[in-house]
Amino acid sequence: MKQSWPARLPVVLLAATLLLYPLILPGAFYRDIGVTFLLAAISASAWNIVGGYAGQVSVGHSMFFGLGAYAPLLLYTLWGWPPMAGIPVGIALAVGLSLVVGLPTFRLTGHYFSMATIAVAELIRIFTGTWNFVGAAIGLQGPATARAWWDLIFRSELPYYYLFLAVLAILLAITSVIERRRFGFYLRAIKAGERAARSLGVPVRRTKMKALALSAAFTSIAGSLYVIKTGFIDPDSGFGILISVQMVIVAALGGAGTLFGPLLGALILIPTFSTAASLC
Amino acid sequence: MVLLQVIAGGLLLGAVYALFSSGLTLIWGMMNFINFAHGEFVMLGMYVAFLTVVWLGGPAVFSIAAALALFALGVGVYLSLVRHVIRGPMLAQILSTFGLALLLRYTAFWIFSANFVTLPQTSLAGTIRLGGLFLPVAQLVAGVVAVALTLALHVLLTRSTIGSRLLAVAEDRAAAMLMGIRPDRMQMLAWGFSAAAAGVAGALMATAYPWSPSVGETFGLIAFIVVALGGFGSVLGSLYAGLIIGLIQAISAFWLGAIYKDIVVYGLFVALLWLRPQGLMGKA
Amino acid sequence: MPDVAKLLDARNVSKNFGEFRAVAGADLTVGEGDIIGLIGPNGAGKSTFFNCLAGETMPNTGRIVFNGEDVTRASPEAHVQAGIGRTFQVPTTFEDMTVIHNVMVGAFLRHPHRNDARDKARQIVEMTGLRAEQPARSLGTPGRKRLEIARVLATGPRLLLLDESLAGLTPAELQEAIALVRRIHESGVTIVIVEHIMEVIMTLTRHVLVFNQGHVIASGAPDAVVREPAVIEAYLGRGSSPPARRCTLETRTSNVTELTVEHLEVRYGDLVGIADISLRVGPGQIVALLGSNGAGKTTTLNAIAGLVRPSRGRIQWLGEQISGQPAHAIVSKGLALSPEGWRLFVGQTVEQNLRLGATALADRARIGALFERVYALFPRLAERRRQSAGTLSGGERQMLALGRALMSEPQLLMLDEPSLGLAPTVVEALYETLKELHRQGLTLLLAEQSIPLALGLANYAYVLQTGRVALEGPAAHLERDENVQQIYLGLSGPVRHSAG
Repeated sequence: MKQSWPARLPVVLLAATLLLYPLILPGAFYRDIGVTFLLAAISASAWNIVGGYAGQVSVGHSMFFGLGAYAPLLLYTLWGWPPMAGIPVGIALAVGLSLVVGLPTFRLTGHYFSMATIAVAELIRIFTGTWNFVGAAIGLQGPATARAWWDLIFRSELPYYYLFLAVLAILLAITSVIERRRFGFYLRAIKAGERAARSLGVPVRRTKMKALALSAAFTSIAGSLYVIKTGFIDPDSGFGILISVQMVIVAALGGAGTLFGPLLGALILIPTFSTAASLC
Repeated sequence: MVLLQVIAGGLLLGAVYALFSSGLTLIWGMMNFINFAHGEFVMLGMYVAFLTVVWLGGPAVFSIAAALALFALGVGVYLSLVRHVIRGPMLAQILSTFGLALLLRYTAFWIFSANFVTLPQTSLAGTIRLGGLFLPVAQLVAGVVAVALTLALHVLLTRSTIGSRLLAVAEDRAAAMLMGIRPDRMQMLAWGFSAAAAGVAGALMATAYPWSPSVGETFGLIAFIVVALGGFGSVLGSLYAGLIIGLIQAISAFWLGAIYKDIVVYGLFVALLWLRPQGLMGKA
Repeated sequence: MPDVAKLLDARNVSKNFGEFRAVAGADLTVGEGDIIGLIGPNGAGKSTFFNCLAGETMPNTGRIVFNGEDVTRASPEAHVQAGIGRTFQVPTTFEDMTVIHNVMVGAFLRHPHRNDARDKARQIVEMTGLRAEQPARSLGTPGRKRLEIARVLATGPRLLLLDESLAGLTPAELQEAIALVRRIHESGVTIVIVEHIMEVIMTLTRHVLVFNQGHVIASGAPDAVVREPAVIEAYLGRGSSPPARRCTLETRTSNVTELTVEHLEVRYGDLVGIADISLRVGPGQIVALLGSNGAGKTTTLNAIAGLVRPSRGRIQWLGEQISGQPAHAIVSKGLALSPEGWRLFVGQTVEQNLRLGATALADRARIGALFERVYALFPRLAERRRQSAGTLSGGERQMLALGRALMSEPQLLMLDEPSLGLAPTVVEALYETLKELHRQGLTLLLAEQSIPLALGLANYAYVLQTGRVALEGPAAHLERDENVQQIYLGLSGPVRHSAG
């Protein structure tokens, strides 16, 4: 949808602010908040596709996040591959899992679905903690120092910041395109009234599955980004329920089902949390 | 023989699961509302027990204290939070009790620290010999009392006037109003009972097992599983399901190892949601 | 001679819900370009039949062929793809979206690209007279109904199933809606419309099917069908026996009233439940509320009982204003309601149900005596006191509902369609019981669809139509009044208040 310049202004300002932020507020503390913020925004925006737009409230999205986080480090641990090679693997695993989870649960009504997602995520978390192949309770580690540029280990936060910002921009662009096309309309129709949607020919099940798959893919990317930056993963930091809950809260706070809602929610929550944490 | 021991232990723990799950099923059946903070109610019951024993001493008192304190909390939560979100969108409902759960958990962390605690020695110490089995007295008492209380709740619901009114509101709110029943009050009462059941279960467990603020999360999930298995709205179903879950957990731990026991239980839950969402005794 | 291939051919469609046969061997043939009406009293199975046609419910027997394709077992989505669209009785618009977006969801079916979908949607929005950018949630109920129609039109249906889409509208809104349906029909869409409002059926349709108890009992041109005896009986109900000599021919001469209702209006959002109802009930009277489906009988009783809040008007009981008070307060003042469909607590026993009825009783010591009274009145209940209410037969459930209402020791007992769904012998027994209760001093206010039954019992009656009192008078007078039948069958047009 073509918008006139005045309408686009806030978005342009937002983009400019985000681009210039690390230069305006230099220093590790601020950059750290910035990176955390971006990661939260990416995760929440990914959740938003299925949870906000389609109204299918998953409280177990950490299952996808964790897959995206474990894949890179697993490839590194096994064969010394650069972690970023794990990104597509994580996506494939996450999408696969989304099909397995979505198929039976989408016919369950609201509460059941939410509970099923919690249970599956917990199941995976506990199972991971027992499986030595993926490090059991200890977890996995990434390369300590960069062997080459593709290990993506940077000494300053700055490159991470812009990398994450780029991913966020892509995700929001994709979401924006979806919003305007048939798929987006169908998502919102499902949320607004499944029975009515069905009576208009909306392929409800298929649409939900697609939304979940897309959401899973991007959540997995968020997990991969997280692990590329921190270089470490264990069952709790990968599959913990707080990860799922945070996604939901961030998206809901800023406005679930809107394009910039998750971003807004992250903007409110992350700096608050970070400053609170640094005070205690 | 060891197996029998394991089974006994599992059933006793399962009985306590049944007790706190019956509280969750009551709310769920009545109001079609999921209380994500229910596990935290159990956890708080444990801490109330702890505080009463430390300050007042005596075995019976702490469970009563837990019951009363949690009853009050349940009513408070209903009045302040639930009543307002119940008519709202699903997301708000989920978030509100989730938020409450986090609030309770982190407050507990802050007050009591994350260390595991046990109840100081009370008269329930030691083990008792029954047949060929050695059972810790505390666990035995906890299990037996839990079964008794769950059955009492069931009897309360099905045979007392108050219970009849609660169930009437659950079944048909408008018709209940025509009888002169005030649905608001009944729901408030239900929340009180639900929380009290959780609290007492917690207090009972406190005598026999160590805990920390983090246990709420696990108990919450177990409560869901028991309720899903036993049927939403059925207290008797919770009893059967609780015992079964406790049993499965104990046997899995015995055969596969302690770390696998949760996997089996959660896996069962997931399978249940796939195959028979209405559980053993619930209505579809 | 085989006639031209029909657009829709549904044969022997049946649907059971457990033991209840909602639809029992219904047939329907629709030719292209037809506009057909489906009428019938409450609970006749029209909606279930519709749901079968639309693919939302799968019939147990029968075959539904649309445009040569067997769609009996097809999903709702497949039905829409094939060209069958339907609206819902209660509007289910997408509240969070604008009008144009709502319609676009429908348009996307045949126009996958956004611009095409939007153009198509705009066309339709213009045709229906809605404003494109208006949020759906700010629409009134008439607007929502129009939006629903617009939305399903966008899916390009060849057959449109309208399920009571015109109910609850004011006369002016109704005319607009009728004009819209006509426009749609003229644009080439075949229509099947379920309605209670006879005016709609008369003016729009050329052929009507009458449903009763799950199957078609009559079909033909609207004005002919409505005069068929079977149809009249279905709507007005069978009289049990010739009305017995009434004990008192009490007219409304006494000025003492227990219950006074003045200019009551009840709105469900924008939907008008009742527009203007005034009535009076004196002590010891039996007053009947007559009227066909949707006339407002239930809403009136629910408003008096406190289940719904009136938006205008006053209700006075024993000198006290009770309008707007909650139900639990009203029952404690001696005004009890046995609601439509009885609404027993099927999960509990007979005795528990009765005891619940006594919740509002001030003097708990009276419970024993009240139990005795109810058991004396209904020995069958006494036998089954420990049985679950769900296992009772229809007649026994009616007894229990009545007994339960009596447990609060009311002064005035209201009954909403007590004879609905009961066999004739059971109904006779019921009415005998009501007479007995009246003899014992109970005032009665009952809503009945069956005219002979009600007038055989009552002293005074009010005939409701589309939320207003169309006619009132002593029962004996109304029995002989032809206007009553006209009103039921919707033949008398918009209502003028007649001299009572």
